[in-house]
Amino acid sequence: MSVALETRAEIIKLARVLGTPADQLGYLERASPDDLRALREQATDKLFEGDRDRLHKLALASRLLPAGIGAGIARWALGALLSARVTGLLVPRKAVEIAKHLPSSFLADIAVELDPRRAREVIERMPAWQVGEVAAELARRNEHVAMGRFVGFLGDDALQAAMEQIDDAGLLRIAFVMEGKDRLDHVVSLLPEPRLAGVMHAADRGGLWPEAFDLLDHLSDERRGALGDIAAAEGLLESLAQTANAEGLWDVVLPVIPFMTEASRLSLARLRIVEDADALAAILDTAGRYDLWAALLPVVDHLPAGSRDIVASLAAGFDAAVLTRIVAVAGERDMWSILLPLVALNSALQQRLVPVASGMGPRSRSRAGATAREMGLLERLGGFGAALG
Amino acid sequence: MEFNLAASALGSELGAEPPSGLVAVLAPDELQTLADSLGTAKRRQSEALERAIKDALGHVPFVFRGAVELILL
Repeated sequence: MSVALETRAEIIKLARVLGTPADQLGYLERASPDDLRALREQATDKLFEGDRDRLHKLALASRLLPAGIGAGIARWALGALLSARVTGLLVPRKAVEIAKHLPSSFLADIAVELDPRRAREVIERMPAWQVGEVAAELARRNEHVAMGRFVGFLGDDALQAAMEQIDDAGLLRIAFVMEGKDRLDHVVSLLPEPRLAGVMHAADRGGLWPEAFDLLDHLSDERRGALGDIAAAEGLLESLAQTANAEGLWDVVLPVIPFMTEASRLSLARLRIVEDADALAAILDTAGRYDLWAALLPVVDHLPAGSRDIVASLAAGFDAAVLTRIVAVAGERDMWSILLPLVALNSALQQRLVPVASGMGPRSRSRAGATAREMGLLERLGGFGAALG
Repeated sequence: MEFNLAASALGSELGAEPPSGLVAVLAPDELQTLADSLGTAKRRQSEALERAIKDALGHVPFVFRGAVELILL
């Protein structure tokens, strides 16, 4: 979960509630997303509660009128703001009847002003075709924040009708700001694979990788891996990795790696960014924090020679606990043929591993030693080789 | 003292205690800016509602007008 991304999304949503440009709320970046969400809900409640008595009277008056006339009054007299405030106070069936008499452009105006929490039943009863029409209108206006508030209240048919009307970049932007992101995995499951590829290309073309990373962060492991595979198959990993590095978001990207196919994972080793020492340091640091060694060690095996030297040198500076963990993973997964050639590259690393070797179980030490002999590496492992004996 | 005043101004606009984490990390002038923004949003909405209710009555067909006026006014 990236706090920076969540905070950014919350600021965008709060700006909408306050009618203030988001760039004027930059001072809120120090606040936590939970506090910003709580503030936004308090502000929304206050705005909606402020004129509740008068709004109730309007809702009551609407009961007297046929739906067609109610629609005319909503459109020509009340306007979108007041109609939005009244919507949640109407009998839901009546609200949906009135909506059938209104053009999608006006319903889109209402949607922008509506608090979906207060009109849940009305939204649930809206026919899918009409939801699709309103979504198309909102998408034309780039009203991603408004659409994001509705996602959690729409059924699958309505969601699919809406998503068919929204382009790939729009889907990413909406996902970034949507309420109830615990539903994102299900929403993404409704998209056909070509749309998912389109979404990843949209991230690349539109500079929307942070939004894509946030999406990844809210998906199931299986679906995150599938999106990673799509990015690899579509040749987008370099762009993705460059952005992750520039934005300091390796902690979102790297945990996806274990759920990618082996072919996709190995393609990481061919990226230009793995030739950058600072990027490698950031990657290894993240791997240590998230215990991603089982997924990353096979990648290390395919790195260019210069990058392998850098990795070995960086590993020599790891904490003893991290080195112990790497050796344990190599033992558990029988990855000695990957780890030992790396160790052979750096004498400082060999020295650091000597005390680790003494903590290894006899079977693991024996297996490592045998592998080193088979590979002709035992003499090139310094003190570590001697410890494996 | 100034810190408490700004937090209190925001609480007054919200009608509730603002999130404590927010009060802890924002400077007094930032809390005051937030309170002012919310106050402006509330006034803007209330004025829009006032205008809209007046306009609505003008659009109610004659046959319904008496009953609707009775409810609204």
